[in-house]
Amino acid sequence: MSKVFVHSAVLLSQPREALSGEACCFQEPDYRKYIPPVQARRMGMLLKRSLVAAKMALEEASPEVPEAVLCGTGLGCMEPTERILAALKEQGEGSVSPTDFMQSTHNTIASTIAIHLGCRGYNCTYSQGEVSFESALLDAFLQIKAGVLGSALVCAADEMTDATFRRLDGCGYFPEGTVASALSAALVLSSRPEGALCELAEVRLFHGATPLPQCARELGQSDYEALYGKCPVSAAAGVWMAVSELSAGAQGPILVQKTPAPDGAAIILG
Amino acid sequence: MPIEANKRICISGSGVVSAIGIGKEESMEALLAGRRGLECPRYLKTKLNTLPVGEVKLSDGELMERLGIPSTETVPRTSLMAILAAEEALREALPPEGSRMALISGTTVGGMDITERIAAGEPGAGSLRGKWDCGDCSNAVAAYFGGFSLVTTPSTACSSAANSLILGARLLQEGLVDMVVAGGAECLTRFHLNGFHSLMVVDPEPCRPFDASRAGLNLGEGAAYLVLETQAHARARGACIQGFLDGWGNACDAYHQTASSPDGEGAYLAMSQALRTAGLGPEAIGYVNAHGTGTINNDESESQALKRVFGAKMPPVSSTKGFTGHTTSASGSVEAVFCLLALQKGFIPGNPGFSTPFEGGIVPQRESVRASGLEHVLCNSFGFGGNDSSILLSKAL
Repeated sequence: MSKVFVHSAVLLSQPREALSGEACCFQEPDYRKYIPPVQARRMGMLLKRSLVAAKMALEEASPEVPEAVLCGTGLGCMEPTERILAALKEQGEGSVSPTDFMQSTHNTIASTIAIHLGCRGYNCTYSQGEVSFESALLDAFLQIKAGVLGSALVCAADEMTDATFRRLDGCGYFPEGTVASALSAALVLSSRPEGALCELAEVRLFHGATPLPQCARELGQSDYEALYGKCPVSAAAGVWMAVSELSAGAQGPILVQKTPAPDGAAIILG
Repeated sequence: MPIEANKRICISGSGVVSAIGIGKEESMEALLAGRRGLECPRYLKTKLNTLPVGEVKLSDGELMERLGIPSTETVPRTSLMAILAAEEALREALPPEGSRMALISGTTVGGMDITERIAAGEPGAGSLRGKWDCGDCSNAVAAYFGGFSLVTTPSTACSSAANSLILGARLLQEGLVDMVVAGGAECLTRFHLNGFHSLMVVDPEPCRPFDASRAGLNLGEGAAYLVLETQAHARARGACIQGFLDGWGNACDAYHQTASSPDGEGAYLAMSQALRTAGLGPEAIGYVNAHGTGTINNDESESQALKRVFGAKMPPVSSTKGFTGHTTSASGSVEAVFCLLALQKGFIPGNPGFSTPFEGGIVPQRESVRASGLEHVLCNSFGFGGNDSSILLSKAL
């Protein structure tokens, strides 16, 4: 049984409205530094931002290629998906752009990252609503713990186009006081303790309510969503906060929770 | 590293729904009789209505009636087919009350059938509020049966269901749950059919995997699930073991978003890993259910990968997509159930549509034939983004 360590964490979040409190102001990274402009022009915003988050996380951790790439996305690539739906409505069948279709698939992000890194190892994408990121994290956690993988890049990605926002808002997804957000995040995990920012001690996924472990410091869904906004993969912001606190010397363990609805998760970092 | 006996993954239930039948009985009859399920769309409302598709021969209303779901409810077709297939698998496995159960259900299109009705502004669709995403589809299945303490959805395009089986094995070996219902489901939608059509990989005729004249795939739909548990758990409760999930591999071709590499590197790595996890050599494999979509590119690349794994000693290989069409996210589990049937009942499914090999291509098994002595089979599923998975199933003792 190996322990699992976090070697880097990058968060690029973009709330639709200004958030109160201490939220870090999202700064668009210099995309040209990471992706050649010719390639970047062909990519949707979510794909571009997620690829850059992944490259930034790997740059911070070490220059190596991870053994695996995992991604969680609750909604997938909405920009190309919405363009396809609009083309079907406005121009009728037979008018779908092949590039949009290729980029609409949920695993486009993890596979584009793998292509850019030349990573031929394990590659998986999860789309389980509110616990999509947590599903990817659980898979990577179990494989590193069992010694199947030595390292993994775990990404979280969701975008918030106007149409997506309206549709989710229409379902009551954004209760009073919440702000919608787009979010791309990346974590580098490894069994190697040297140079780690903290340990990923536990990842639990559950369907329906379940008793949770107690920790001195707990980051509930409302804590991280108040700062970084709400989207299906918002818990990645909670994990990023916990990693930042622990690497700045805070006392662990820290519990990051996702409230069951009906899927919930508990992630413990120390 | 071979798996220790107690943690060997048993299959104690299986169910399938596809264009060739509802349930294993009908599916096996069709496979043995060479009866293909490809025809022009009956239920999918599309202008591309001359393209053969592998449609499940029940309307949404008929599926709901069969499942006892009131017609006033809205349930994505993906979930309806999934419930029907999972019901067959659970009826066989009979999980004991109080088991810690996980549902792992791969899909990519999810509830797009409903989303596209809303987007097109169909009459009455305005009231269909909801996200209708991949996770919602799996949660609808979990809600129908109840009792699942973990639900998740791999979404890796056409390898989704195979990846569900791989995660299922992992959850069991780590002791997170007692039993897993793993597989995938995907329904036909205008979105999906138009998408594949835009890539110019849809054959206007019934598909011909591995044939020199092949011109693409036929899109299909379906669902299939395997109930998995460790050997220790199955023995302790006296479960009837249908077969074993002994090996699995997933690798990324890392070549192109939709095209496979000419040397089939990802597929080669996935099959090699599946053999390695099972602790078996290529000579142990008695049959390979190929991904074999019928596209120029896949069949070339997969042929290369198969030759690299098996060399001159190629076991019988076939693609069953000429029966069902390409059931995309469900194909990994639909074809795993066909492989399980092949092991249990002793036959090798044929490869409809094949007559002439192409240069460098493998020569598949043309007709379904009875075959005794099958011990181990490989089942390949490759998805967009070069997401290549292979699983290895073994006969029950």
